Amino acid sequence: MGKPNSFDDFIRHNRDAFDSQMPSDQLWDKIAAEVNVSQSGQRQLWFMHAKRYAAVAVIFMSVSIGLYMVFHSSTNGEEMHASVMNKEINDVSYFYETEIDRKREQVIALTAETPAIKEEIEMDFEALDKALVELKADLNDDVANSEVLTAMIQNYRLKLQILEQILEFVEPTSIDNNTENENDTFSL
Amino acid sequence: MSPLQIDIHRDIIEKARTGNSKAQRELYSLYCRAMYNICCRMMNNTTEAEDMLQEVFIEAFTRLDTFRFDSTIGAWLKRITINKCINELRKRKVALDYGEVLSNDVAEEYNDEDGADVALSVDRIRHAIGLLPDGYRVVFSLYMLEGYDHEEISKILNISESTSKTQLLRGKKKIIEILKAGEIQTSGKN
Repeated sequence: MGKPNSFDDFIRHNRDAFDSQMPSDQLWDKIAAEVNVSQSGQRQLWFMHAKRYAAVAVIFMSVSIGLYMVFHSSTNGEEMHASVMNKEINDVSYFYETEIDRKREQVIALTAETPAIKEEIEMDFEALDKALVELKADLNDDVANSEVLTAMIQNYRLKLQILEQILEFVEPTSIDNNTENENDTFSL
Repeated sequence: MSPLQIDIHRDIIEKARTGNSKAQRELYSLYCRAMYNICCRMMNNTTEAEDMLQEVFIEAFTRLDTFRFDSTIGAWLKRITINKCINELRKRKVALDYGEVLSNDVAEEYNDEDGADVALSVDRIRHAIGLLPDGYRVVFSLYMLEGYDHEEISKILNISESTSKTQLLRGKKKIIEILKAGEIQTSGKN
C-alpha cells in the first residue's frame, strides 16, 4: 500500500467518479426498436418452426393411423373395402336389371299376339338367370374377383342384347315418320 | 461471489428474458452508465461508445436466455461490452501494440509514489487516459478501473501476463507525465 494520495489509491477511492458520463436519452429508443425487431423475428421463426413441427406431426399421425389400420385393423379395412365394392356391384346390378325388366316388358307387350317369342325369351333367360345366381354366389365368396364381375356384366349385357334384337324386329319403325317430317323442318 | 449477489435483479432478468420491454428498460437503466463509461474508455470516442453500447444491449437482450446466474448480470454485461469494444478495435485494425515483456528497466520506471507530488483529479486523469496510446489505454482501463487482474487481461487480449504488466506500468507512467506536463503548462500560464 502506497501513500494515501498515491496515484493508485486516488483512483481506487474515486472509482465511481470515473463513471460520470451518460449516454444520450435517445439511445434506449434505438435499442428498444432493434430488440423488438429481433425478438419478433425470433417469434416469427418460432412460429414457422411450430408450423413445420405441426405439419410433421400431422404427417406422422396420418402415417401412424394408416399403419395402425394396415397392421391392427386389417379386418376392418377389408370390411370397408367389401362394403364399397358391394355398393358398386349393387348399383351396376340395379341399373342392368332395371333396364332388362323395362325392355322385357316392352317385348312382352309388343309380342302379346306371339306367345312363342315370350316362351323363347324365358328359356334363354332361365339359363342366363341360373348362371347369374352362380356368379353372385361366387362374388360373395370373393368380392374383389374381377373375372366374376366381368362375367356378371356380360350376363346382363347378353340379356339386354337379346331383348334389343327382338325389339328391333317387333317395334314399329320410327325412321319412316322422321323421313316424312324431314321437309317440314329446317334447322342448322 | 455470494448467491445473493448473483441473484440480484433476478426477477427483472427473468421478465426481460420473456421480451418484457419494461424489464428490459429497467436493466438498461441499471447498467447503461457503467457500460457506457467502459465503452468511452475503450473506444476513446463518445459517438463510437454509444454505437458500441447499443450493440451491447441488443446482443445482451438477444442472448439473455443463455445467462445462467453463475456470475452477476453486471459482470456478464461487462464482459460482453469489453469483447464488443476489443473486436471493434481489432476490426478497424487499431494498433493495439502491447509491446514487449516486462523488463527491470520498465519496472523501475514507475512506482506507486510517483503521483504523490502531482495534483490529482478525476477529470485530469480521465483526460490523460484519453491521450494514451490504444494498447496502454485498454490495459490501464481493464486493470485500474474494471478490476481485472493480469491473468484475466492476458486471456481477454490474448497477450502474456508480462505484457499486460508492462503496458499497465507504462500507461501509469505516461499519465503521470501528462499530469505533470499539464501542471507546468497551467503554472506557466499563471
